[in-house]
Parts: sequence; C-alpha cells; structure tokens
Amino acid sequence: MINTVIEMRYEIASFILFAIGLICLITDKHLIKKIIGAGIMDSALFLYLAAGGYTAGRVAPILAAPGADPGKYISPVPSGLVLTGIVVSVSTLAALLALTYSLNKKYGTMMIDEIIEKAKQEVKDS
Amino acid sequence: MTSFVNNLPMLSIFLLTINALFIVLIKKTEISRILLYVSILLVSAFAVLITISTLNNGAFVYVLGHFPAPWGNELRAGPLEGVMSTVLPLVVALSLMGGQSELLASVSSKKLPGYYASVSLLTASMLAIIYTNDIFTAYVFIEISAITACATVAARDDGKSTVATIQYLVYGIVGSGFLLLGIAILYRSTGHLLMSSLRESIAKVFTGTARLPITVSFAFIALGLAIKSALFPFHNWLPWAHAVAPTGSSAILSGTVIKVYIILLIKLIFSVYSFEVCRQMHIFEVFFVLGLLGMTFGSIRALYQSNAKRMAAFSSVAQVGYIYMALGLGTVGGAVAACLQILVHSFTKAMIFSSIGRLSESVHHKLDWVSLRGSARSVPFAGIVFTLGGLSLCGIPTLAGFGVKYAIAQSALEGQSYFLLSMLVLGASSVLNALYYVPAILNVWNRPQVGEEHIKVRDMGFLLSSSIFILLNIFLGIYFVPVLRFVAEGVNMLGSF
Repeated sequence: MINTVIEMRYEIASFILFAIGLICLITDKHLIKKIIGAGIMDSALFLYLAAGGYTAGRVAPILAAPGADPGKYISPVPSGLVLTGIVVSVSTLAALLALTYSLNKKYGTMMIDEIIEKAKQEVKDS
Repeated sequence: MTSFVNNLPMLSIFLLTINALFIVLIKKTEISRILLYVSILLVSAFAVLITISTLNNGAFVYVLGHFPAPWGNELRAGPLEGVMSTVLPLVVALSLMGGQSELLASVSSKKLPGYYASVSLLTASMLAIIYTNDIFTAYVFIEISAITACATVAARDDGKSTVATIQYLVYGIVGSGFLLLGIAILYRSTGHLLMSSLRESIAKVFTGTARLPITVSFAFIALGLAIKSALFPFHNWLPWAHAVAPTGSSAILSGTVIKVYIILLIKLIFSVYSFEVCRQMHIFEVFFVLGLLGMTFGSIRALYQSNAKRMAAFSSVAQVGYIYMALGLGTVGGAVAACLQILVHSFTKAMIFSSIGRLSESVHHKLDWVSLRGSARSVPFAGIVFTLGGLSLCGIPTLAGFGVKYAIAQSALEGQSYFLLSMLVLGASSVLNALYYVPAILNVWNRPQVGEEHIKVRDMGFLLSSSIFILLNIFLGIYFVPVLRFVAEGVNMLGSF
C-alpha cells in the first residue's frame, strides 16, 4: 500500500491539485481567485503529463552524437504536449484577465455575484 | 483528382487562419467582410468536393509533415466530415449575412475587423475539430474555438455581454480541463494520440488491467465535451451567452459551435473507443437519460421566458437533448439520427435567431414578447421565417424537423430497449415545443399595440440568407431519406478506420 503511494506520488499530487483548482474555479466568488484556480488546474494536468513522460535512468531527448541509442532517451512527446498545453493555458488565462479588467473598470468590484447583480439592474433600468 | 482533393482539408483550415491575419492587418471593414464571405464559401465548396470524392473512393487520411502513422499528425476526411464541413461554414456565413444590419448598428466600426477575424478563426477551428485525426490537436482547437467564441459574444462591449462572456469562458475552461485530463489518462495508458493507433491499442488492452483507466478517460472526455455542448445539467452558461450576444453571433454559436463538440464525440465513439467498448462502458445509458431530461427541462424552461432570444436559447438546450438522446439509443441508426439532428438544428436555429433579430429591429431592438407583438406585420418576411423555423422544430411534416423525429423514432424501434419511453418523451417534447413556439408565432402576427411605431427597413442580406435557409429546410423535410442514407454511409466509414 505505502509503496504504491510512494510510486504514484506525482499522480496523487496532481489529482489533489486538480481538485483544488477546480473547486476554486467553480465556487470562489472573487474573479482573480477564480483565475488562480484555473491556473492551478492546468498546472496539475501538466504535472500529470510530465510525470508520465519521465522514465528513470534516461536522459532528455537531445541528440549528443549521430547514431546514438534511442533507448537511452525519454520520449519527447509528453514534453511537447506540456509545452503546447502551457501556451494554450496562458492564452485562456490572458483572455480571462482581460475580461476581468474590463468588468472591474465598469463595476468597480471583483466579486462575480455583485457584478451579476449590477448587470441585471442595468438591464432593468434600460 | 483524388490527390488534389486530399489537400483540401488542410487547405481549408489554412485559408481561414491566414484570412484572419489578413483581416486584422487590413483593418478595412468592407474588404474584410468580403474576404470573410469569400473564404467561408470557398471552404464550403471544398467540402462538397471532399464529400463527392470520398463517397466514390472511400475516406482518406492526410499526413502532415511526412511523419508516418504512430508519430505524426493526421487529418481524416470521409463523407460525414465532408457533409458537416459543408453545412456548418455555410450556416456561419448565412448567419452573419442575416445579422449584419444589427451588427453594424450595435458594434463600433473600429471593432468590426476584429470581430470578423475571430469569426474566421472560429470557423477554422471548427473545421480542424471536425477533420483532425489526433485527439491532442482536437484539444488545442477546442481551446481556440472557446476563446474566439467568447470574442464574438463580447463584441458589443457592454456590461451584460462581458459578464456572460466571463461565465461562458469559465465553463469552457472547466470543460476543457476535464477533456485534457481524459486525454492525458488515455495517452498514459495507451501511449498514442492518433485515433487509428488508439483504436488498435484500446482493442488490445481493454480486456486486461487497463479497463479502468480507459473507462475513466472516456468518462472525463465525455464530461468535458458535454459541458462544452451544453448537455442538460451543464447548460447554465448557454442561455445567457446566446441571449446577449449580437444576433449573428447567437445564430453562429447556437447553430454550429455547440454541435462541433458532439461531432467530435461521435468520431471518438466510432473511430477510437469503438461501438462495442462504449456499450460495455454503459456510456449510452447516461447519454440517453441526460438527453431525455434535457429535452423536457429545456422546453419547460423555455415556456417561462419573456425574452425571445432566451426562449430560443433554452430551446437549443432541448434540441441538444434530442441529439444526445438519439446517440444514447446505442444503435448505429441512433447515431445517424443524431447526425441528422445536428445538420437540421444548425440551420433551423440560425434561421430562428436571425428572424428574431430582424423582428426586434422593427421594434427598436426590444426583445420582450410584449414589445414584439405585431412586429411581423412590419417585417412580414422575418415573420414567415420565424413561423417556418418554429413549426420545423415542432416537427410539422415537409419541414426538416419532421425528418429528425422520424429518424429517431425509427432507430428507437430498431433498438427496442427503450422504445416506449423514447416515444413518450419524443411526443411530450414535441407538444412542449409547440406550446411555446405556437403562442410566439401568433404573438408576432397579432395586432400591434396601439400607438406603437414600427420601423420598416429593407435588408437584402437577411432576405437572401433566409431564403436559402427556407429552401434547405424544405429540401431536408422532403428528401430526408436519401440524406439519412448518405449520413449513414459516413458514420459506417468512421468505424472502418
């Protein structure tokens, strides 16, 4: 039991982080905290992918000399996936931050429930 | 000829992406609009060629960058992909054309090139999701479609549309988070990302110890795609986002964007997990139940809406329920009926949204039913379009919605397992649809309120786009049996790769 936990420590950590990020993203009312939650959720996924890509005893896939034994290197695909994922995550977070900035400028608060109340009031008034 | 057609899927995606760049650089509204229409119609014509070619010669795979199967990235095109990528870009172009006058009135001219660029990118990402044979590429383009769809919702730049956008984006991030988690689990238990390699690998390891991770991976992927496509308990973001967006965006989002994720799901069921494995995972039962709940719940909520666009948005929730319910029948016929419903609902809902936009324009951009009363008398053609769209969703014969209900009923009869239940809910949901569409139709044709000034304006774009929508609707209402056979061939070819 304890050996499995030690062996799977990266996976377990990434699932816990994913859950923390998800709960933060869904339940927190503060927009910036929501965005931090989204960041944690994405990082947890990258940890999970990167942990899967690591094989003990092998080195980074940088070819030192032509004709080297491919068995000495780790698979480069998971690292590529993580890099692509980081780019995607940065752009969604940037979009979220831009929207938050414009909402904050308009309503002067970061709490999503207050913003929704004010927006509904605005619709009623018009 | 064949080798030329093989390049078309990549060319379509590339054309629309480059087009977005050009539009941003040129910054001239008129030129960018023409560029957008031309490129979308060109892409749609490419897809017609792909459909004809693949019906004769079978589906093909386009290898990107000359890396062979287990390592490289591929696009795959068959008749199903061909039909979908003919109809969906066409609906995007026609929706834009129908909502153009409202767009010009409500969005500042400085922002229009940006809007057109995001529509171009959105269409490119939809095509990429339809054509791709690699699940990670699908994930990347799903994120691109989420961001660009948000940009089209937020085009007006007022408070309520920004709030709706942020909610849409938060739901989108949750959905794609689950999707990426599922893909990561699948990748770690099989070591592949290409659909064809995944299929072989899953067939080998599903019987052994990897049964649990593969089931979990599909559960997460299905959950992610269900959130993105607004299946019943995850639909909260849809009504608001689709109701506050400009009319063209509402039509594009409700008609096409939410369907793309379901097409990806159907592709995953047939060409990755295979039908038999999905049946063993009991995923169809879940889809069936949630679909039924969505059909009834969406219609009931639509009954109580005082805002016309919100009613249409809740009706979309109900119609997405139809798609999942047909898919959940667990037969090939059910999946074919689901594909037909995707096609039919894409232009029926686009038609309803653009006609609502036109009707509300005649009553000073108000959207509540009281103000809309009698608006069809000032813009009769929009009234006719709204009437036909509503009746089509109620399932009146000779209109497209009837074909879908017929196909679902027929495949429920073949499946036999939940025949009675599906018939009952199909009937009840049709009655519910009629309960809100018929009063709405009567309301817009009613005598207008005393002292109400209506604006009468001609709009050639709306006239043209809606005429095509009506023709498509009547065509599919009468000739749905050949179309159904055609789609069935495409779905069957998905399994053969």
